[in-house]
Amino acid sequence: MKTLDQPCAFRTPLDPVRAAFFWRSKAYTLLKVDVTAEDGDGNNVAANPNGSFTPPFSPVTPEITIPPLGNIPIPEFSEDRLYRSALVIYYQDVIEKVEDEWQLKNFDVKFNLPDELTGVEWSQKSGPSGSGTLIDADKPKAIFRNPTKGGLYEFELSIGGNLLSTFQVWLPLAGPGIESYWEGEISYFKNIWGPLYRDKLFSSLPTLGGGRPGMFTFARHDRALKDMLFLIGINLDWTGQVSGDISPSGGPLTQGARQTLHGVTSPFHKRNNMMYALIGREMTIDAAILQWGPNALDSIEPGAAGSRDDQYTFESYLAGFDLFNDVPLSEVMENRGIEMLPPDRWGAREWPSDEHSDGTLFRKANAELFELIN
Amino acid sequence: MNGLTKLKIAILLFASLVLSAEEPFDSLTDDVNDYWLSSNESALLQLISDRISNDPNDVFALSLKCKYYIYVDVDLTKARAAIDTLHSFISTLGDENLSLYVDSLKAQVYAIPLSESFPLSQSEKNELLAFFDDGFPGVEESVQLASRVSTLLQQ
Repeated sequence: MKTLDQPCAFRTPLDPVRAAFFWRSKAYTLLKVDVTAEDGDGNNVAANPNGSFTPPFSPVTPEITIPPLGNIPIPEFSEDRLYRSALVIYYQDVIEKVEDEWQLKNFDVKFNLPDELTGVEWSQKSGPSGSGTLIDADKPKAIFRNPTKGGLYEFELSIGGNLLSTFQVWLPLAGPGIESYWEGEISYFKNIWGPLYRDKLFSSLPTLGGGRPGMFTFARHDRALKDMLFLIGINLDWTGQVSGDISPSGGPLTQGARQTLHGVTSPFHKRNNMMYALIGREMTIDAAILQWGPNALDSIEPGAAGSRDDQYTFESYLAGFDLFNDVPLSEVMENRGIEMLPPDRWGAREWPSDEHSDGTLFRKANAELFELIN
Repeated sequence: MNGLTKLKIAILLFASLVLSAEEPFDSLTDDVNDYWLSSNESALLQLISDRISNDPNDVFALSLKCKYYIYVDVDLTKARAAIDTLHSFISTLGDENLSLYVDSLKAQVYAIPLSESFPLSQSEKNELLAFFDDGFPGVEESVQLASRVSTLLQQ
């Protein structure tokens, strides 16, 4: 392969990430930039390792406003488009469990040009600050080491002072942390709504002559369960999407909005399941009934109680029971947050955001919840 | 027949197929609630008995039967027998989650001591009616269980 000291007569790159550069000599010689991502053991961690990337690509950032009915406009999103636009690294592929604790693995994004090229300069044009280190930026083979924050990273390649290409690495990012709002909701149901509900439940209980304590408990439980099914029937969900300055910049919202809770991505369904379990326990419903009931019953009205339950859903119920038992949300998320995330769903793919927001979601069953305590 | 008409017919057929799975339960739920709210105990028991005569493993009827012998004609031995039959049948279906759910239901029924198995006074009946003034206790649960099992059996 013949190389020249100075590249000249560049054509518009046909394929800017695996950039095709043409050198004028006796014959054109095609050189490519390969962008890959590997962990410390040399294993690929990119979701699209064999991609051919043609930026620009703008990740999905939904509108910040929460419409009155909680319906979020779903931005146009094409998985195929993102795979063609950036090297994609999912969070689930770069975390590992070490002694019961989830940790981010060391990994490198590698930029590769033929060794004989001179005058190479790699630079980061944009992306989350304080995340990742560009190593050997003046060499044909450079490394972007250990990014720790989700978002869209844009890089540039110059040779001999000529900007040749830009290319992107996308670490899809969940919505910002909503801890203050969510902890407020938890506190409301534990300290205000729950006691009011129980007051009303117990004050209206049939005495049954005082001689049937077993039936008394059974009837109380049936009443609470009937109330819960009433809530589920109109969807005991918190809808909407809270946004920050840069987050979310993640996947489509067709799988429900993802937010961050204490450093863990928290998808719509699992967050709502947690609250369902907490509220159910506040209503004095038996934990086993709460845990197995929706799964057993969900086929009646598909979608009414969420999708069919699995180990990840059960984990979210257990998280709700922990909240009921006064375990702080931070601890619950540390212990169960990632265990709630089904693989290959956007909740597992997206990186948690380190932004925090005071924004709120929309309590869809608010009127019915209010009705049950008045 | 033009394309639009064919489309309309297809939509109607599809809608009728979707609705038909739940319609019987919708109607049954209304009947059960009506009997409960009007204290028509004999009609409620007849509905349950008819369904069980037709199918001894009728999940909807077995679940209701259990509740009937707790809330209407208190006989906790019969309530336990009904939940036992339901439990046995569910355990043959091979759905672990559903079995665990019915385990929980059974445990709750068995938690009521047999010593409480004596007829309700009229005032107790009135209390229960006021407490469940929106319908028979457990009817939604019974519908959901029955539909879940129906789905399982079709798979």
